[in-house]
Amino acid sequence: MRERYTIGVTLDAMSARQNADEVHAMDSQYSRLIQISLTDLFIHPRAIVACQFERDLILQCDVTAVKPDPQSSVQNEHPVVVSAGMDYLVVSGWAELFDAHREGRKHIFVVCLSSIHDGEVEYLALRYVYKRFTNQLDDSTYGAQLAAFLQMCFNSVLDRISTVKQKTPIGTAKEISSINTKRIHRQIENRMEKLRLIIEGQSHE
Amino acid sequence: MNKDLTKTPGNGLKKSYGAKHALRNKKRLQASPHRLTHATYEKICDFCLSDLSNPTKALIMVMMITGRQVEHILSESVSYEVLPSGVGKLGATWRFTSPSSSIFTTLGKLKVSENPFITIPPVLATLLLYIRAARLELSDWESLIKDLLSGFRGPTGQLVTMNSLQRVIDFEYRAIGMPRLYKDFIANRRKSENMQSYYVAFRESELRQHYLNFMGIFIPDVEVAACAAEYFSDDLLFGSHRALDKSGVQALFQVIIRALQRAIHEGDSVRVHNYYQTYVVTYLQLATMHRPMKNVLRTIKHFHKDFSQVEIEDKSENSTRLVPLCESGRQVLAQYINYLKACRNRLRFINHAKYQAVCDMLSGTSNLFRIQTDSGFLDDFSQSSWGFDDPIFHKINWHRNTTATQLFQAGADSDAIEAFMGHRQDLDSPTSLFSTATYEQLIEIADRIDTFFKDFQIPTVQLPTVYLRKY
Repeated sequence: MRERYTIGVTLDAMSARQNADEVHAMDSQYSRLIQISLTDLFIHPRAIVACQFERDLILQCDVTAVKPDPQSSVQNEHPVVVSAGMDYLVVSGWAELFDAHREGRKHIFVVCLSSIHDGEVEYLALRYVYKRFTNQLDDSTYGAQLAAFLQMCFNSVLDRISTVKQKTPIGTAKEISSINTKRIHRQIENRMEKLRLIIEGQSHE
Repeated sequence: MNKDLTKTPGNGLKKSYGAKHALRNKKRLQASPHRLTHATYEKICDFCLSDLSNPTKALIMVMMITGRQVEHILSESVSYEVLPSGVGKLGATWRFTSPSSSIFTTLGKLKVSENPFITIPPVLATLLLYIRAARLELSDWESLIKDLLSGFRGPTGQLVTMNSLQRVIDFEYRAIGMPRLYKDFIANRRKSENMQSYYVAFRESELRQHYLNFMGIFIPDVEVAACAAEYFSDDLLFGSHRALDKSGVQALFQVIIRALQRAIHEGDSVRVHNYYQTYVVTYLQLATMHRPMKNVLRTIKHFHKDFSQVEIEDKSENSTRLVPLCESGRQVLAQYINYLKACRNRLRFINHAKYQAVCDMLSGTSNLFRIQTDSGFLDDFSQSSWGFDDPIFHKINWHRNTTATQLFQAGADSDAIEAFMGHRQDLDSPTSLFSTATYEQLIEIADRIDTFFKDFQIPTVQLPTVYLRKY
């Protein structure tokens, strides 16, 4: 069953969410934010290699730790699609698509381009994967940073956003990232030491 | 007797009910009034052994201790020789074929003798040699035996016929704890009578031990001891030529696992699917003694009770059976189901046709095991250029032979193995009022299969996380 709700977001409105280079790649064509059924969405054939590569990456954390929120109509990201007859082909931003499927949502908001050259698709898809790599956290302090975040929301929204909660933020970090507790403690100490050195350096000045 | 009934001329009733009579005779229990009594045995033995200058009496004794028809004792196609110790070696008509394929021929198999035999005690062995050398017509021998037995009665007046002599073993094998397979082999019954005979390789030493126990009912201990003293080989096996040994089973799994590892290394998800599936199917075929076929194990709906039971339809309706799945088999299957779920999620937005096919596999609307191609899934487990094309993966019935042999040699109840394999005996039919088989016996077999898998160190495959992830 095809369902489409045009929200009427133009390129200008969308640009707040999309990277400026990506907008340039769209060649300033008309784009809309629409809501469509998941059954109408497929990965663009030219984006499949990049998509499969990205899906096969081994993640540090259990992504199912993020609690689904089927009531919310607000998405953090919007897949970029292009219309192809009755279907829509996803060219980038597919992470939200797979999350929606996993969470059992029936519809999703996507940014729909009016048209795109086939040659551009591969570029956009690979660029999306590359960006995900470059956004990764520092490997040596990952556990400490995760624990710090969990500490930040441990007594507030953690119950709403996470399916996992242990007695302590460090225990929770260990559970979802599989990083050894000792290692997390060591990372925290190292992090504190760095901060202390920075503060001391500042005070000398 | 059965043959006689069907061939009786001028008796239409007997002819038309011949098959039913044959079935009834087959079902007769040890308590049957047609069974000769021990007193009658003693009288026959005294009668025959007291005067062995009469070859007909020697032939009667051979019939009784082997349960064979005269035809099978005297046939030229059945080998016979007398060893220097005086013990005779009487061959059998059981022949087993050896399949060949480029992989199967290289695998380690149980070394099975091409010429299976039973021993004949010295007191009868040389006489039998003369009888066979005499080359009288079969009908002449039969007439001589009938004439000799015509006036013979047991102490209680029991009539002794050629048929009752041949059937002595049918009544006595249970009493001495002899597996039915050995009885069938000693009496040279048709292999198809109790189909298990096709699948099992059995030790000559164990066969002989049971046979000597049976022979001991009729002949003096010194004769039994002479047969027992004859040494052939501890490893001498008769029966199936398709049973793999430990190294053979391990080597075969290594072939699959190496191909799977290559496919994983190359990131070829189509081949990963096919090789992994071949591993699972091979494992489950060994665990359930399923025959090789295209729609092997059928759909997910054929598994019941949290995958602890599987309904097998691998041949005709007669062999349809519900058998327990051993613990290790359940684990392998559970991982395969998880893999399919992950595969479904991977394909969700990439290939709708494949996604739908995996959904069908998981919902039970199509076969659970289907070969994948670049464009989709085949309907079944037809091995092709996308998988393994060697007959060992889709044609050669080595699974049943290997598992049945290991279970039998480990001392599992042969009737329970038979029921597990779908070879339903008239008395063991689960729906029969007089059934002696229980489901607990099959569970015991499944437990023994787990032990066999441990002994053989059958490798388990753990796919990389990427093929099992839930998102």
